[in-house]
Amino acid sequence: MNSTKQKISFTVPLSFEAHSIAQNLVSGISQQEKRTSVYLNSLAVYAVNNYLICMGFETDLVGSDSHNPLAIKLMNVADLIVKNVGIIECIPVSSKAEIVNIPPEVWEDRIGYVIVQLNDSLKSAKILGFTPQAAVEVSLSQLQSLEYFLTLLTELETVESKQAEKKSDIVNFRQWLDGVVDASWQKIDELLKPQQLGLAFKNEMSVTRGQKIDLGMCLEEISVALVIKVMSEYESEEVDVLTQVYPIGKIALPQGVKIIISDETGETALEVVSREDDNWIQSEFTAECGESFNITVAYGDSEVTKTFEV
Amino acid sequence: MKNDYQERDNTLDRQLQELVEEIKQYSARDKNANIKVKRRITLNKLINTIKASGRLSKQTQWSGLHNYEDYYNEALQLTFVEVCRKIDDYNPHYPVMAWVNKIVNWRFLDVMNREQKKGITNIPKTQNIKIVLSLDEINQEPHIENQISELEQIEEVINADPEEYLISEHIKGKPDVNLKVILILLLSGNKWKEISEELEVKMSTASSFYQRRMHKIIAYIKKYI
Repeated sequence: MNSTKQKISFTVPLSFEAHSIAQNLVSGISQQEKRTSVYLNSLAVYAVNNYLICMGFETDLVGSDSHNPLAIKLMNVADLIVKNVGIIECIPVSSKAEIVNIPPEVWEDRIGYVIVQLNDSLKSAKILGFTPQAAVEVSLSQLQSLEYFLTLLTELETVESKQAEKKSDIVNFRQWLDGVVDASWQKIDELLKPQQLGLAFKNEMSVTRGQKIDLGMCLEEISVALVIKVMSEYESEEVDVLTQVYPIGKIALPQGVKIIISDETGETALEVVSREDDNWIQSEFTAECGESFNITVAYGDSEVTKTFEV
Repeated sequence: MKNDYQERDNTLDRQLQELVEEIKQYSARDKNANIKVKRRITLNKLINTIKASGRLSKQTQWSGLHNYEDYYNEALQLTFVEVCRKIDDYNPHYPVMAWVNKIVNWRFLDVMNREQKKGITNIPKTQNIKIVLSLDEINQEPHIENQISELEQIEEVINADPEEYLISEHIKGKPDVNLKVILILLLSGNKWKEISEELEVKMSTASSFYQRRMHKIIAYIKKYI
């Protein structure tokens, strides 16, 4: 079978769903030029999303900036998040275009740029090709093929998912601050009683989450809540981390519950131990971007360690 | 004549069957990137061959319907996704096109039911709201404004800059080239080339400075609208 030689393309029919999304996105925009640009961007993203779903990729259309009503007003953006791959930009061109312009505000942080040709009726979109490199102007005749595009994305996906398997246990605080928190970390009002929430949680850029942890053996068994508050200033490379341990179902912690903060190598940096009648214990520190560290909660012979990164 | 058609259909089916078989050889769950790429490229070819076959059901019994073309396009789009997803379940006992066309039938009915239901509940009969717009229609579409547009609200926040964040974020050594200035120029319709000339900074410097702070700008503006 010699089917591998002919060049492939892909055409996506655009109908109710594609156009409803586009109409929704332009609804708060009154400038004509901006409306058209947002509308066409949305159709291009829709087409690429549809293509990638057919090809068995997982995408996050709704989480992409191209579907954020604020982002589309502040930039010319047509991005699509592809899970385990990264962000690709979907650039619409008209049926007569010979060159494509890539908006400068999307030159960074992209795997590359997929060019999507829309016919004038906007009833179909043809995925033309790909360029990994941003430039003011790219000639359509210079584009990389869809074979190349699929190969690149698949390779990235394979590498990423291997890394993801390894990294899935590590909790990333930057993601918390961006609003991405794994469901195993609960909001603290779901975890603790109102009278335990003595600490004033102000609303700077901060996220507070907690997790129930069971410690100890047999009769000595206790349940505690590990509560972590992550704070960051705008633009700061540093993150302030406040770690607290509260009792669950009791007013006070037993004596001897520990919070241990250790660095990547496992060396202890901070340690606090509960005394008699402590309602909670806490430890506070600052971590820099890229740093990773462990938080251990220990009682008697049992301990639970979680790994975090900024 | 009839034999000719038959012949062509048989050739087409053989070709499609071969493609499907090739796809099934490469498991979707294989961890090897090479295998995955082969599966994807062959899937892409399968869809293209189906589209080019001339044997896709046209659903002509519905061709009198208002918006027939849009119903058909939506049904086709759903069909292709389904063919790709369910290819491993396809039973090679039947011709590929028979399987595909059965999906087209079902999806066409789904789309028709869904859209007509929407039509009854959402759209007043007297008003003809068009969903699928052409390029000309978007470019001409009159805009009815009955409230302050969201863009104006955003502009207000930027001008007020309540925490003086936008003005404090500037390109190193150039306090005049800050986020507030860039945002105001952008929102009044300036191109990056013009912004670069006006502020006397390299275009890529200004745009990447802006892009990198996008999520913070969004979080900041969101607090005040």
